[in-house]
Amino acid sequence: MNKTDQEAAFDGLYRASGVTLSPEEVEELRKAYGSLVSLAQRTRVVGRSWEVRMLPFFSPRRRTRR
Amino acid sequence: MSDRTAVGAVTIDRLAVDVPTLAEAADLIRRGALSPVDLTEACLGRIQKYDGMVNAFHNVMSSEARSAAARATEEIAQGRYRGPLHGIPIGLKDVFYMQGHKTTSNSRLMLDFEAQEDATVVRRLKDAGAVLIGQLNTYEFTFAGRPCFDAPFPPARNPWALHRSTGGSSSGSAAAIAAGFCLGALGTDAGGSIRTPAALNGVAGLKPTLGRVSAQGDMPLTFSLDCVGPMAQNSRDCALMLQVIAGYDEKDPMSADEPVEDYCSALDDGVKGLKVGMIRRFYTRDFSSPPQIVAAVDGIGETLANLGAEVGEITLSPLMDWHAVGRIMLPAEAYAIHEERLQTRANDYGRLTRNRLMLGAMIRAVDYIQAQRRRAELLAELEAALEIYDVVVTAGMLVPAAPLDDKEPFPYLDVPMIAVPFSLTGHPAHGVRAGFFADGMPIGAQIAGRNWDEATVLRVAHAFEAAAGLLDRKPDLDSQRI
Repeated sequence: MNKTDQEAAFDGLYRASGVTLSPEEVEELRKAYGSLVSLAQRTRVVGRSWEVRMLPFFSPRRRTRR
Repeated sequence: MSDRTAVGAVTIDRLAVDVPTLAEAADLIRRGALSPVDLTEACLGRIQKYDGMVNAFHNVMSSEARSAAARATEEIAQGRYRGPLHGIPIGLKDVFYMQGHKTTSNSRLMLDFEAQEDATVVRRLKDAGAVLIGQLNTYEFTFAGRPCFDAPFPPARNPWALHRSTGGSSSGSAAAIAAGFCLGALGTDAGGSIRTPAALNGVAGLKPTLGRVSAQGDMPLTFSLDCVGPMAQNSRDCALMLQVIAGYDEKDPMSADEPVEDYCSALDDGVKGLKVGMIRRFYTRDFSSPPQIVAAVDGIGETLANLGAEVGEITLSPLMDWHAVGRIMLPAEAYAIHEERLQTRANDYGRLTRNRLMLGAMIRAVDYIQAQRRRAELLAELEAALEIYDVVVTAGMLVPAAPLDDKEPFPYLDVPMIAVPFSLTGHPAHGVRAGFFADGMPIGAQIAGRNWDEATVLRVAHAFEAAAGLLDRKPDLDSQRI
C-alpha cells in the first residue's frame, strides 16, 4: 500500500468506525496506523500454502445430555 | 519470617514486618500456630499503612475479610480445615465478577456495574476458604498498556520504587504481593498482563495453559487469548493457588475438560535430566536488552545446568513476528468488544485506552486472518521445540520499569512484547524473579512449557528459586515518599 492509499484507507476505516475523536487524537491514530500496516504486512508470508489454516481450529464438542 | 518452621504462636506485630509466604502461612495455620484473624489483621494493617503510597487497591474489603477470617479460624478450630488456602488473604484484580460488589476494570463506564454472580474463580477461592481482602488495581479495561492518570483510580506504584511503573495490566495484583498486602492474588493475561507486572515487581505469576482456568466472570479483553492465573511471592505459592482455581467449567466455552494434575507433589523433585531450551535471541538479537537483563536470564540456564538439567539454545522466528500477530489480534478483538460503547461514549474512556482500542477499528478482516495463519506457523515452531525441550526460558521484560508518568504515544506498536509468544500459542508461561538491576529494581524471566504441563513449569521455576536465593530481598516502603 503506498502512502496515498494508506491515507485513504485510514480515512475510510476511521469514518466507518462511527467513533468521534478529537482532531489531535485522529492524527495520533493516523501515525500509529502506519506502524499497524507494517505489522500487518509482517504477518504475510510470500507463497504461503492454503494448507496453513487460521487459528483457532474448531471442532464441535459432544455434549452430554443432562 | 526467620523461624517460619517453628511451632508456636505468631504475633500480628511480627507478621506486619515479616510477611510469610502463602505456603508458610498455610503450614502455620494448619498446625494451629497462626490464626487467620491475626494474619488478615496484619495484611489490613500493612494496607492501612502503605497503600496510600502504593495504590494497589480499588476497594479494600476489610469488613468481609475480617468475617471470612473469623469464620476460617472457627472452622479450623473445629477440625474442618479445607486446605492450603483456608484463612489466607487473597486479592482479586478488579475485573472479576463479585456478587455484592462493583466490578469496575478501572473504567468510568463500569463504575456502577455489579454482577449477579461470582466469577467461577472467585467461587472456587471462597469454597477453599480463602479470605478475599479486596479488589486490585488494573489498567482501564486491562488495555491502556501503561499507567494512566485519567482513569477513576490512580495507577498502582511499584513498591520497589514508587516513581516507577508496575507494568500491567495486573498492576495492583503484583504491587500488592510485592508490598505484602496479601499472600496471593489473581491476575489476568492476554498478552503478558500477569507476567509483565510479575517481572517488574519481582513476584511470581503464572499464565496457565489457555483453557486451564475458567475465565467466566472475568471482564474480557479478547475472546481468544484471555487467561486467569495466580500471582504470589514464589512458584510454590502459585502452585497452591492453581490447584484451587484450575479445572473445567462448562460456563466458559474456552475451558478445557482436561484432568487437573497435582501441582505441588513434584515441586521438590529437581530438574536433573530435564531439557531446558533458552530462547536467547528474543532478548539479545531481536531486542538489545540491557546487559543486566541478559545476565540474569542467562543465569537461569546456568543455574539449571548446575542442578543437572540439560540446557540448550533454540531459535524461533524473530520476536517482532510474534509481536506483529499479537498487535493485530488484541486490538481487533478488544475493539469488537467495545465498539458500541466507543461509538456512544467515547469520551468516557481514558484517552490512552480509547486510542489503543481504536487501532482495532483499523484492522481489516484479511489482516486478522493472516495474523491467525501466522500464529499457526509460530505455534508449530514452538510445538516442535517443546517436543525436544521440557521447558523453554526467556526474558520476562526487555527494558527496566519505565517512569510512572511516561508520556510517549503508542510505543507499544514498535517495541516488541516479550510475553506475547506464549499468549499466542496458549502454552503455560510463568514469571520468576531472575535478578536485580544495579539500582535494586527486580528483573523477571519467563519459564514456559508444554500444554497442560504447568506442573513441570512450576517444578523448574521452584528449583531455580531455591538454588538462586533471590527471593529474600523485599521492597523498602518505609524509606520512600511520593
